Amino acid sequence: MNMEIVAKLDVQDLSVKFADKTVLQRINLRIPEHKITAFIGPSGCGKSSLLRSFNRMNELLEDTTTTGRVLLDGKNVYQPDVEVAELRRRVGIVFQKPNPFPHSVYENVAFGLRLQGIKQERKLDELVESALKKAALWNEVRDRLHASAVNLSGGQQQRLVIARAIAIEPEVLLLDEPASALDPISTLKIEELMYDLKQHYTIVIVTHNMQQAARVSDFTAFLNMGQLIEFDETNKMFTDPSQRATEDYITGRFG
Amino acid sequence: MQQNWSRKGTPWIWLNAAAVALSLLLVGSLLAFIMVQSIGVFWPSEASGHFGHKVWLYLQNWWQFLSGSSVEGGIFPAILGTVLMVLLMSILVTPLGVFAAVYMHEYAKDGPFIRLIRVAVHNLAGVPSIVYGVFGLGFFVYFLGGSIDNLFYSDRLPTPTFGTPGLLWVSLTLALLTLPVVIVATEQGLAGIPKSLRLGCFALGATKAEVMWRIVLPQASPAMVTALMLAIARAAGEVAPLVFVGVVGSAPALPISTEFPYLQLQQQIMSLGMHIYDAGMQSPAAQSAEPLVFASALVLIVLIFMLNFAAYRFRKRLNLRYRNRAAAES
Repeated sequence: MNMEIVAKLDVQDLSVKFADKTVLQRINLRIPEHKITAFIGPSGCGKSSLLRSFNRMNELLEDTTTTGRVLLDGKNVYQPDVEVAELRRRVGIVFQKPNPFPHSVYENVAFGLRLQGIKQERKLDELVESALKKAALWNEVRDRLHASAVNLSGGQQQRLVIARAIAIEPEVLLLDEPASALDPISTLKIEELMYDLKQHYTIVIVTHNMQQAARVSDFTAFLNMGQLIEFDETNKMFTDPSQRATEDYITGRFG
Repeated sequence: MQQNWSRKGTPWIWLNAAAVALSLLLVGSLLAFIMVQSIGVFWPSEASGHFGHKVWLYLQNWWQFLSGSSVEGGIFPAILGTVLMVLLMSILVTPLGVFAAVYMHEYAKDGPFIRLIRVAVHNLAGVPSIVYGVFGLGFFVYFLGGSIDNLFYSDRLPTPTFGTPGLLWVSLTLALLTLPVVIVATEQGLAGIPKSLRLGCFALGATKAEVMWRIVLPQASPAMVTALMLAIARAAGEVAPLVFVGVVGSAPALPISTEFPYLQLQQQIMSLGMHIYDAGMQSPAAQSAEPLVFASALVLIVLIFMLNFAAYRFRKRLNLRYRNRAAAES
């Protein structure tokens, strides 16, 4: 693998336990900057937990113990002096099920901006518009910015949530099966969107969909039973995997 | 055919429908009874002229009844007392109950201790209200009120200022009495907020306090109003516990004044519930007062209805603001 690439996230010996159950075992992984990295693997392999460990969302979910380190630009995010809110501002996340706030489209996107103390209406207008444009949603909602976000379609909601996440200009965008609840056309839009977004952000996506991983990602990590089996450039992974398990999974022989 | 009929669940549905009908009938007849008993009370006697004039007199009589002082045979002091004690109670119980519920549901770590507290709160709702009255007398009136007198009004002693039953202690006792209701209803509202909304808020870099203020509390506000409605309905009709702490059958003066601080918190008050008991059971002319008792009961019902309606309208406005929450959950 080409190691010249700058690692945005450097995972070192990361283990995660939920209560007494080990879900991740000593993961070592370097996520390259301004690339799309896909995590694939069978259900329950720990790929979502790995994703959520990057911005410490795991600790909100269950009784979690994390050991090891995740370096963001060289600094361990599990260090005691790290401000978790600030970390999550830098490392945004979008979940499988769209979760717009029950506010207007505009207020959804402005939410994170307001959290940062931006108050001037004109500045908010500008930033909301640019985020919606980046998320390829502006043309569909420009006439109903102040209508409730909950009335949008599922695909629009998911793009709205992505707009909400990128409005605060995170450095890393984590996508946890962002398209699995969407129809093929919405999925396509999200995939195109990811391609545009990678110019500015480091993107990590968890997906169940092999074709999607092959289509959108530059690098792919295959996880199974809490362990990282293989990590390589996507082309190499899908054409010439070095591990037997990876080949079996990709070709659909198990999982 | 027979089997088909029962398998469709038809008898079951009829049983339920009958239960609903019976409940409606009972409540309806209660209301109708009070209406019938009280509606004619103020109808003038035969000799007072033509029909229009009679109606005019009828309305005048009602107005006198509602706005007159006790001496004039009116119930205005009782209405005012009821409204004031319920409003003061609302101001006291809402923040206390809401913050307690927020702490228990959002901040306290779930464990044996918090579960014990929760059970205790649920049990408090079942404590007979008279017990709250005795507690109010011992703790609020004698202990708290006595201490206030010793500290701030020692020049007036031995005449007590706050160390005697009064409006403030009535409201505090009511607040205590309704606290479990508010805590339980608010907690249920908090539990109904989808986790995904909280996570979405955290994901944007919000701190716990920001998640609370921007998402959780606004989303739970309709539940808080529901809690308050339940509290008001319970409090407005209480009599027994309040006799200990400041509600009397006939108070010498109104608890309001035209001078600062406008509200006489140490003053004893009258209430509709007390008035109904007092006029119906205690007055020497109880027999002749009976129609007035029913009229007072009607006023109490209408008053509670109006207070609840105000809270309902308020909740509707809140719901409208967050009207798509249900859709967001689906």
